[in-house]
Parts: sequence; C-alpha cells; structure tokens
Amino acid sequence: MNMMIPDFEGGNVRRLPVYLLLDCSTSMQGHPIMAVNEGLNMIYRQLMNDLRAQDTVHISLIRFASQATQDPLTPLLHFQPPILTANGNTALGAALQLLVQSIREDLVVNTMQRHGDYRPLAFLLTDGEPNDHYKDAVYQLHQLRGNQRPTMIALGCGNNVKESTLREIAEPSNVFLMQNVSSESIKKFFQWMSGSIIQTANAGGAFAPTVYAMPDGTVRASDGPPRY
Amino acid sequence: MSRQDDPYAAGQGPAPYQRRASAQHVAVRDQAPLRIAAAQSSAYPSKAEPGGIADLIWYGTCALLGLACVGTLGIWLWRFINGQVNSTKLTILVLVVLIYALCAGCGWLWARARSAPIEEALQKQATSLQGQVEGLQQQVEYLTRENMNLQQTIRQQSNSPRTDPSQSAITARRAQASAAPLPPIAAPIPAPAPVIPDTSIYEQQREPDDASDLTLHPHEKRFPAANEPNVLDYNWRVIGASRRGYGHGYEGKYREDDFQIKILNNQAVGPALALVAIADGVSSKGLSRKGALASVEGASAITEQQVAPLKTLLFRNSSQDEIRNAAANILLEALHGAADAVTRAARTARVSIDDLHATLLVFLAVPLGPEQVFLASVQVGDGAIFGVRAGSNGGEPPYARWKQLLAPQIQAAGNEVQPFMRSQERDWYQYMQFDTLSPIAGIMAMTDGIADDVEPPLPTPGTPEPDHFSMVDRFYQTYVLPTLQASRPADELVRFIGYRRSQSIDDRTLVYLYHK
Repeated sequence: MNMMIPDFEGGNVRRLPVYLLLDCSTSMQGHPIMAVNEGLNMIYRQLMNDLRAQDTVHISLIRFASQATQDPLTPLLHFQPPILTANGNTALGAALQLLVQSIREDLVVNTMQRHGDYRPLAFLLTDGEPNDHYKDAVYQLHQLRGNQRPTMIALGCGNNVKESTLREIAEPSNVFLMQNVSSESIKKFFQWMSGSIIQTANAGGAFAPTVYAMPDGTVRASDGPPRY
Repeated sequence: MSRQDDPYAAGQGPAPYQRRASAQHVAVRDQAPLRIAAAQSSAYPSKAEPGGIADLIWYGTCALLGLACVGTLGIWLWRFINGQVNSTKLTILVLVVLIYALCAGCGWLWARARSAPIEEALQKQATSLQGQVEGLQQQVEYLTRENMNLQQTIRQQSNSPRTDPSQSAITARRAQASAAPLPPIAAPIPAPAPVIPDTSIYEQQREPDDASDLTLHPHEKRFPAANEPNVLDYNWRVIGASRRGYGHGYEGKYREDDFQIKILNNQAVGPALALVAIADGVSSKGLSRKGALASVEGASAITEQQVAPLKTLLFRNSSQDEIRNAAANILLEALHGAADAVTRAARTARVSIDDLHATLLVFLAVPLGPEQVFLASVQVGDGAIFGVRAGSNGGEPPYARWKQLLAPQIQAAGNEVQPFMRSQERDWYQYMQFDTLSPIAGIMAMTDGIADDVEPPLPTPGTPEPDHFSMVDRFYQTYVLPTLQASRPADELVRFIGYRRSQSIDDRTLVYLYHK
C-alpha cells in the first residue's frame, strides 16, 4: 500500500494582522514621502518572498494627515502598495482610533474551542506631534486584551517628535527615534519592519524583531531617559 | 467607543477619520496632483489679460497720440522744406521730439524693472513644477516596473507545471492570485528576475548541525515499532505515530514531540489497560525535546502493581466514584513520575528545568467491551482527544458521530502555552476527565500540530453555523482510516500525518485506539 497523501484543505487560517500607521502630513512632503512609498514596495516584495508570510500576513494601511484613512485588512497576495502623498496636519489620534476600531471589529478572538488571529503588529511612523486629541485613543488601545492587544512599534523621525508621546503609545523598548532623517534611513527602517514581520510570522505570531540592523543614528527609547 | 457613540459616524460634522475602500483611494490619489497644481498656479500673478473697455480707451488714446505726433512732425517737415519755417522754430521742434523720446524710453525702462521679479518668480515656479513632474514620472515608471515584475512572477508561478501533488495547495493559492484583476500596464518594460521562490521554503529539510541526538530523537517515531504488543481486550488495538514538522525540518531542528504507549495486560489482575503519554516540547526552549522524552518516559513508568486497584474495580463493576478515584491516583502518579523524570533529566544535562519545558497529555484506556471503553485523561497543554461513535452508518453529520474528550487549553493571547513543569498538583485535578464511552469505535489523541488543523471552522455567510467536528471527521476519513488497511498501520500513519497544509508546520503526533 503506497497511497498518495492528499493535502489537508479547508479549515481556519490564522492571520497575522499588520497595521502600518504612516504620517502623511505636510512635513513629510518631498523625499520622505517618496522614501515611504519605496519602503512600502520593498515590504511587499520581501514579504512575498516568504511563504509563511504569504500565508499569514494581512496588511492594513492607516495614513493620517488632517484626517486618518484606513485601507481594510487585505491578504498579502491581494495587497497593492498605494502611492502616498503628503499634505495636512498630524491627526495621530484619529489614526489610533481607526486602529482600535479595526482590531475590535476585524480580528477573530481566541475562544475555548479555537485559536483566533495572531496578535497584530502595528508600526507607527511619524515626524511630528499630534494635532488632535489622541489621549482617548491611546487609552482605548491600552484597554485591548488577549490576542487583540497589538504589539506597537513606534518610530519618531526628526526633532519635532516628543519621545514621551511615543512612549504613551508603545512599550519603551519598542520606541525608536531617528534624528537624521534621510530617504535611505527611512527605507532601512522599512527593511527592518519587513524582516520583523517575517520573523513574527515564522514564530507563530510572537513578535520577534529581525536581525536586520536599524538605520544608523536610530536609538531605542529604552536606551536612555525620555527626551522632552 | 461604539459607532453609535461616535459623533462623526452620526453625521454631526466632518469626520476626522474615515474608512474607505481601496478603490476610492485610487480615485483620490488620481485627483490629488491636479488639486495641488491648481492651487499653486493661482498663488502667483498672471500676465495681462485681454478685454475690458478701459484697455480699449487706453489703446485708442495711445494710437491717437501717436498719429498726432507723426502728423505734426510731417507738417513741420513739409513747411521746413518749403522754407516756411525758420531755424529757431526748427530747434524748438527738435528739442520737443528729443524730450518725448526721452520720456518714452524712461517709461519703458521703468516698466521693465517692475516686471523682472514677477518673471523670475514664474521662472522658478516653472522649474520647480518641472522637477516635480520628472520625480512623479520616475516614480510611476518604477512602480509600473514593479507591477510588471510581480504580474510576470505570478503568472510564471501559476503556469509552471508541478508534478508533486503535495504542491497543489500552493499552486491553487497562486492561481487564484493571478486570476484577480490587476491594474493595466502603461508600457512594456523589461522585467528583472522573479522574486518569488518557485517552491516552498519548507521543501528544504535539513539535518541538525549536531546530529548526535538522532538515536534518541529520530525524526519519526511509531508504535508498534517492531513486534511490541499493541492488542488489548475485545480486539482493541493502539497505534501511534510522531514526525518532525516542516518548520523544524527547515530550521534543522529535532522533533520536539514525543510519545510513549505502555500496554499493561496482566490478565490475572483484570482487563488490559493502555497507558499513553504524549508531550510537545516548547519550541522556544533549546532542549525541550529532552523534556518531552523525559516527560513521556516518566509518565509511562507505571507498573502493573499501580494499576491493579483500578483493574480490580473495573472487573468487579464497582461504583463510578471508586473507579474514578483509582484512575485519578494512577494519573497523579504518572504526572509525578513525569515531573521527577524531567527534574532528573535537567540535572543530568546540567541545565535548568526551564530549558526542558514541554506540555503533557496522559490518558489510560481500558476496553470493557467491543464498543465500550473506560477513559481517564489529563493534560497540561494544548493537545486534544476525540472519540468517534460506533454503529454509525456514515450518513450522520460529524457532530452526531464525534465527541471531544479533552479540549486544548487555549490561552487568551493565543500564542503562549502552559508547560507541564509550571503547573501544580492542585491544577492537575481540575484538568482530569473520566468517561465510560459506549458505543465507541475509536479514540484519537494528538498534539497541537494536528489539533490546530482540526479546530472548528469559523462561521461564514454561507455556513453561519458550521459543524464543529467537520475538520476532525475530514482528517479521520482522509488520514486515519486508510492507514488501518495496511499490514503495518503505524508505518502508514507516520507517512500520512506528513500531509501538507497551509500554515501547518509544527511537529505532529497522533495516537489512535480502535476496535478492529
């Protein structure tokens, strides 16, 4: 007896939701926003190279300027990196509100009978202070529990970002500050992001920062006291 | 905040945030450059615009003045030629003409000086816009090239012939992707090499760098491996299989699942009993395979003497409480044996117990008839045990045929699992289950490598109330039942649990107790 082994089709697919919260305010105009656009393409290419990421990663883009807009969670295979433009203020609170809303409504939670989605990864990239009321959204973000509680990673670009604001949103060990912002450094951060997503997808949803180096001049907030 | 509480959702003002479909984004993106261009052009003064009565009056006056000047000059020249004008009057005329020419020249220079900064600003703006256009053109070209590459790659993936049927799942997924509508391509641009690998990375299986432990931890394990007894009373049999997962194979790691089956069939005491221990090493711990092996060996070190009270009670058909207490004692001794064995293993390997963490599932099964089994089970972890009813004609839905005898302990966060060595004796009691199953045809026990694959499906619009056991039944029909036809079912079971499934790369272990 030497029967072929059929594939086991059907059933649940556990997703790794990845939220990209990208600042598209006026200060990002020019080379920074072009670097972000290239970074998005790079993330897409690198994730498509990994079969496990292809299977699990679902991406949602939340761009924020004077208002915040969300592209729904999309399987990686159907994701098309958009071309972002930069204009307006920094409505970070609205973006975080969208993140919380999507996590509450779109994620499959764990139950006694079955596993739900993996804990989401949320990457925040901003170069300025929020212009709206963001405290309520941060509070709601911290109220999320179980596999709904996202792993937040925040990158502050330039000198206009307050480290204390980012520390309110993400764990200090997941807050990074980039003083000298260039196209290359932003692209390098996106490379780090894609590597971390792949590592997490392969680690069964447990956030695993990649071995890729962060861009030169980027410091982790937990390396020192907060700078105000 | 719910949507009802959201003032923006209720239409009480402009929404600071909106959720839009991606198609709408495309439209917005297309319009954005036009909006920017219009705003910038209106910010600068435009050149003179035609039209207006004032302009006509101005042009007419200038023309009349010009004609008057030319006419006056002609009359004076004619009178001078005819000798009607003396030299004094002629000198005055020349002076008047010179003053007029001077005024006109100064006016021209003044106007030119006023218009120079405006022209310069317009020139700068034109240069800036030209630069932006070139940048956007480069970006469009780059993205178009990326789009071409990806489309070509997806098509190559979907068109490439695959002889290995195990790849069909991957092929189907990619074919589906290529069938999805893709944006049109502006112009054919030569594409570089494809970026997506042709085969799954998990096809690359490699041996551990230090293969010295392969004797103790082979990539595959089965029961019965040789000629060990696996037959219980009433012709019940037990087989087991464990194999390294594709993820560990890709990483060059050992199999971290383990299992042990012990048949206690001293007929002088009572009915034969099968004691089964299944462990799943925690992947993040380097030596968890040793912990898994120690756990199952320690748990299955139960002797005939220890199970004799239970057998006697079952033989005498005693009360359920007495039987449960006796079974609970055996399970407790098994768990204590496992804990002692892990502690010894850590001491021998000179590592922390933390490095040997594993989950543990232990059950004992005593067939009491052709379709009746007493089952006592306990687990700390996320394995599962299912039972299938006997006498089914195959026409019943899965939920009517299957019963979950031991559920996985799924944590709220979903990723963590409680290792056996972090649990305490008081927890063990609450994890115990006792059942006298009748009519029963088979019992499947498994680690999460399989249990995760057979979880109840999620509701869908087409199936709002899916059958919770549909995946269990499909797994049983596809991979378990066919192996029973083989001369060596355990060998076939090891092979069959090597099935391919999206996202399923963990080690897999299955023990099946069935009535032949």
